[in-house]
Amino acid sequence: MEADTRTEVVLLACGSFNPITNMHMRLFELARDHLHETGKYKVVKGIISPVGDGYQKKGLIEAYHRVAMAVLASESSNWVKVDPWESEQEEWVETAKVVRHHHEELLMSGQCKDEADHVKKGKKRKLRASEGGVSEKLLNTAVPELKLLCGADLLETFGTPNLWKEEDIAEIVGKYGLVCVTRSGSDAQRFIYQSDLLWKHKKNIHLVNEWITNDISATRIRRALRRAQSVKYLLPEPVLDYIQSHNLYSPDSEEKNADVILAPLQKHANLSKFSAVRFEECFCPLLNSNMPADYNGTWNMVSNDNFEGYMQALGIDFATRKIAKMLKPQKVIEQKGDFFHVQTLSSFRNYNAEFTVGVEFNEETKGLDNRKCKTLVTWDNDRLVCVQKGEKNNRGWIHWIEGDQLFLELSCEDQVCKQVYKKAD
Amino acid sequence: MVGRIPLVLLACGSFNPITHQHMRLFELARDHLHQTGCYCQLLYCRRYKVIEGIVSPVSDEYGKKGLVSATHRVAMSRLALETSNWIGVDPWESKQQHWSETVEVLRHHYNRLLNPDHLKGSVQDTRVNKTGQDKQDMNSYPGSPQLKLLCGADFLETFKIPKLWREEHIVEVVGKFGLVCVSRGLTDTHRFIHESDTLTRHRHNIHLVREWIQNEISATEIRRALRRGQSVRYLLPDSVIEYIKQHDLYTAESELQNAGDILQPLKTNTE
Repeated sequence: MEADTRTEVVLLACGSFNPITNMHMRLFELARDHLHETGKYKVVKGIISPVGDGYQKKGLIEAYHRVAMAVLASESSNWVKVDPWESEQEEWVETAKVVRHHHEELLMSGQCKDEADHVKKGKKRKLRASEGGVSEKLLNTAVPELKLLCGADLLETFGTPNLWKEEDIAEIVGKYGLVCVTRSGSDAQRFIYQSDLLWKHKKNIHLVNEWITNDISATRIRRALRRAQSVKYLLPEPVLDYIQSHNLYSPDSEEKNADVILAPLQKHANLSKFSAVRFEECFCPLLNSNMPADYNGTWNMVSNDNFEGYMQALGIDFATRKIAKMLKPQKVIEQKGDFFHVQTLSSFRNYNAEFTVGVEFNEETKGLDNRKCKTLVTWDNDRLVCVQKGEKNNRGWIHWIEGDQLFLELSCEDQVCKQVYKKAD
Repeated sequence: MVGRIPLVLLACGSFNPITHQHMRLFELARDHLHQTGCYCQLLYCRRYKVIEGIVSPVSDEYGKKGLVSATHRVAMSRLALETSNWIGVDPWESKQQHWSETVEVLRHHYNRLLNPDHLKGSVQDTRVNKTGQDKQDMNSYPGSPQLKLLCGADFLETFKIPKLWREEHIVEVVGKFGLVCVSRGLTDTHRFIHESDTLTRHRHNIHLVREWIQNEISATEIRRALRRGQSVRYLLPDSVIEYIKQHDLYTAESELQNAGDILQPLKTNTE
């Protein structure tokens, strides 16, 4: 009988699972098939790790329920199981820590079988990891390799500043490995190509093509449930029964955490000074309407309408849009005659624009959509009208002041975003 | 539920095999009809109550490549629909000695619904059991239930394939009965209807339902995955997957079934 020299693999999927769907379960199946077809791997276990309530995502219902539903969904599977460890932690746990935790668990369960033998193999494994792949084939260790299972959207979040620590990404793709299921394999490949870090560890990133499109978004499922629409056949039957008998996913549950900033952003981006503040709209017009337009000052955002549409028109990626949408930036404007210096400050990104009204200049929207435009700002009475000529049609913005409020309309293609700022005290 | 028009949805197809996607069509259609009623311009627009769903697998005489025996396709549909309290499978079409045109199937079920006591159906007919309690509902409504054909956008587009449909049949399907068409890309479907005089004339009888989940679980893809030993779990019910395994359906050989033959409808209409 031939010895099985394949490397054993355990797949770990982290996520909200709010609720778990047939698509989540498919990810495991697809990943397993893919790894088996390489002939090099044998997937021995799948772990569903629902995120803890400390994640503070809008609409996230209690971990207790999400774990229960995941258990129901995986009951009929003989290799995919739920691990509630992450969900039981009070504070949100970074993905790298979750992976580390499960890796340690695997090491320990390996050691329990045969102390001496497995410590030796454990050491060999550490050696292999630190030397970066020395003679992997010669060492058929007893401890399976742990790999993070995800969709392409998670891969893309690696490109979002302040969301991941560089060393965490390096650890996940370098030491462990990623199995990424995606419909757009070429986009994912390009993303890897464009990142030095990911490119370095590309052998450890397995891209699995999802040929049978199965985009069962949990967000849409929650919406459908709120509207009493059917979600039968999109989730495993026992999960559906559970949701119905516990009356989960109401308009109230969707409002949970609506005002709160996602935990990972709080941690890395030092958003603490914004996290508790809600800007209320207030209207207190000043009486000095005879003065010429004076944009000087610091202006705090009051409202932001259709920012999402505007960002989409600019082609800004999903993860960045999600973060940007929650921010309340400040405009700091220095005006000297026709010369303007406009800073847009937020804890996520700062953007600087310097221009002289009437003078066309080359603008590079660094940190936004990273495009080059030929930009010209002109006066239209007291309004500042800006046209950004470039790849995108109908791109530009208009600023004007009313009382102590600064208005900004941003346009791109057919999308208009309307923002209002109030002068800081 | 006063004033609601009772409605039965009929889906014809290969169901080779039945998938979650097929069953989703019924659920989406029912939600749409219950919530929105009809968007027509008629003054006496009333809402529908969908009382029954019928899965009608095509007979083997259809001659489509890769079509496995009707016995299996009916059995799998039955397993898949076990957890549904309103959708059932009707083997009538599959048992006919010849391929039945869609209008024939519609006419058969329409007549059956007009006289529920007259045509009870066979013992294997699961549908009878499911609508047992609804029979009372049916009788309490004014008039007999309406019967509409449930389909996807791709079905609608077959109307333009030369020789596949007879003009008078298209008129009967959309005019006399009506369509409930589930589609992801409603713009394309609207345009398709607009470009056809017949369909435009009967526009009020074509209910377009938007599919908000990007789900392309095609039976063709599933058969391919099965041939290659890949997993199809969570795309169809476990009971159906089990059945497929037990009976060793969907192999490279089964896909060759009818290869090279001309589809029966094309034969019929060119004669």
